[in-house]
Amino acid sequence: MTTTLVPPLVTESEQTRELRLQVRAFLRAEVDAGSFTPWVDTWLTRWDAAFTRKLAERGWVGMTVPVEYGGHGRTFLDRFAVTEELLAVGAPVAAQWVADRQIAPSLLRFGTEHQKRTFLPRIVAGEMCWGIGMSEPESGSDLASVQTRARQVDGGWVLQGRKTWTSGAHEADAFFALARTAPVDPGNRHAGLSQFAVDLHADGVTIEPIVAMNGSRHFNEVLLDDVFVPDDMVLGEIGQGWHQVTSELAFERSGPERFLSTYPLLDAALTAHRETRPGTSSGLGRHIARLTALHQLSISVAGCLQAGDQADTAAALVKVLGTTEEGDIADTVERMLADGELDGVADLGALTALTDAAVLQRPGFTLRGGTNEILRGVIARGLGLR
Amino acid sequence: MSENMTEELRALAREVLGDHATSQQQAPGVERDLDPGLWHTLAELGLTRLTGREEHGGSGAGWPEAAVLLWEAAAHGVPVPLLEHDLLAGWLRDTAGLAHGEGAPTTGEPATEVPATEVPATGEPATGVLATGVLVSGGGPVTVPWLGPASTVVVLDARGAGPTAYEMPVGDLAITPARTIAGEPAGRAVLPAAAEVAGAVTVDAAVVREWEHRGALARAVQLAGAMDKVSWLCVGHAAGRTQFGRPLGRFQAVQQLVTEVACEAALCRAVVERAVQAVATDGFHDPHARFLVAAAKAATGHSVTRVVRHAHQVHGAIGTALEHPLQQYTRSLLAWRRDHGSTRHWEDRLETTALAETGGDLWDTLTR
Repeated sequence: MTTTLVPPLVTESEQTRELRLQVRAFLRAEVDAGSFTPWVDTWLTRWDAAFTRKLAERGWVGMTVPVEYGGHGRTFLDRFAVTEELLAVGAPVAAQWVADRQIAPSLLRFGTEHQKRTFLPRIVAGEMCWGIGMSEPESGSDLASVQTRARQVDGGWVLQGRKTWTSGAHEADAFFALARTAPVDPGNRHAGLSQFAVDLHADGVTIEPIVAMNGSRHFNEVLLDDVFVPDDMVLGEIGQGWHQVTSELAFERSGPERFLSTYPLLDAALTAHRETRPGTSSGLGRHIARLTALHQLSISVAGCLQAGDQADTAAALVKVLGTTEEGDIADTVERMLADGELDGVADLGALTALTDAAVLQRPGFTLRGGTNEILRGVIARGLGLR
Repeated sequence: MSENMTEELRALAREVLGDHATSQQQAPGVERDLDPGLWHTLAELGLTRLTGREEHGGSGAGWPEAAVLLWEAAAHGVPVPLLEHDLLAGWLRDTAGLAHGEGAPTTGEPATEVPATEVPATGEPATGVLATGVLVSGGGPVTVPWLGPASTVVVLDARGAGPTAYEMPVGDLAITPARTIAGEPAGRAVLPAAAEVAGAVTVDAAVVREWEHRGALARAVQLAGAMDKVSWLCVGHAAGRTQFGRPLGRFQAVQQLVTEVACEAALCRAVVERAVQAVATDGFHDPHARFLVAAAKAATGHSVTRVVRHAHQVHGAIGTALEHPLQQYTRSLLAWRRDHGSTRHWEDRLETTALAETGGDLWDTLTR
């Protein structure tokens, strides 16, 4: 029975390893050249369209998109290796993240030929950035309760409502809005929902910041006030929005950003410890052990996606474990600093700033993309308890 | 062995161990001894010296097969000295070139407590005896596992300037009987220095290191197998037990506990499978394989705390009773976690020695 929870063991091929090493060498050169400063949680907090285009030029954005749509026809395992490398070094990848991770796969699965030809080449080129239009002020974990409505008009739909927690909406070009196209059926709350590709520069779209507790702006509220969406920008089928959104979530939940958000901090702390107390153990071994396991579990989920197998439960499992672990890393390093265990390191100020960023980002780790409590519900269903 | 054959072995192990587990659960005891009849069956099937060289009467299998057997025995809650007899004693005897003479285990019949009626007549007397193994690194008495049923002990003596290996009959030792927290037999004894033992052989220092990693890997596999089973016991209990008019599993608080157990079990399975694969491919002399072994033992040991706590919380009071199957897994998990290096030991070793030996680049090591 357990095979339904844990996908079969997957190890990286020689070719993928080669690709991984290419990406690693490129990133090292970029860091050395001062192209970016490594940071934590960069897939949310570091938006750099120029850097995204640089990656795109090397074929590392939209990798799994077929060649006929401008992509590279690479495997999910190749993409997994590239994204791991980007996160581990703390590169600024927020501009491409959503489009690369879930928009492109959703377009491939549910999009029309016209939509694929319109959007995919631009995503692959790193020229089109996307956000997520799912959550609303009154719909957090309970996504099916969204109140944004789409009213059918001549030639399209008119959307009215308010989306929230849209990362990067103030810099993005578009998002998929989940909206109600039919009144709620109390017997089937998941019916009557649809997805629309909304141009964030369209008339009627207002974007307002949600400032995070450390003063940074990554999240937004997106007000949709009679925003017209033409018929050819309906994603998939009217009424099938719930099914489409949940399949998008498998991509959203399974990637290495669910356990590597604080890896740059772990690496920095380990380096600092070696500098100040060489030959001794720091207590970070616990995290190293769990990250080793998470890497393996996560790569196996990528193998599952590659094979086209159902990975919802496994993805939820990786996310629950991984987001907790990446937060625990932040806490451990914070304690080490507080106890003076890294005193004497060359750049204590930089390490402290990185740690502060990590502990303030931490509460979000186990919320975004579905809270861990919701995900445990998904796993419980996989176990047959619900 | 191909994947097919590994799966065949799994099916065979499930059949043999499943029968045994059923009969064992009818009369659970605090003390959990080796069933001589089961050991005999396993010996006849070539499973007690699964990884032994064929020229010495072994089955010539490797770590993937050994891991299947260890996993299944752990998941069935059946106490069997597979690690001690095959993967440590048998391996050291082969590696050090200790004599395969009179009294040396080939198939491994327990020397004592074998009721004659339970041993099927094979037409010839049992040729082997159950062996156990112990690594001695300090002075004074040491705890030797399975000293009750074992009649010979293979010793890796790391006390002197260079490590030595020797084998001696258990009968020559003054033993204080003991039990592990899992109820398995053991004994305290002072092992003689190698100089006092005829036939002691000097071995390479790497043999000691391999011994430690063999023990850690086998225990990690057993821990993961037992935690996997515990997660399904939790699912079964939550689905089958009704309180407040509905199954426990309908309560979100209970679901959260059960899923946490399942998550930890899945995580452990992933790292253990990877470590076994690395050892099978590259051997214990490979630094990266050793890194993965250290990670596997550290990660599984860490997960035991949460798994035991949550599993018992799900089961309520009955899980603590001797009559309930959960307790045997709990006790085994606690025994194995501390065995062959504690969680802390392997966490520290992972960060210092293991990482240094792979070149010190954590990210490169993690992703290889």
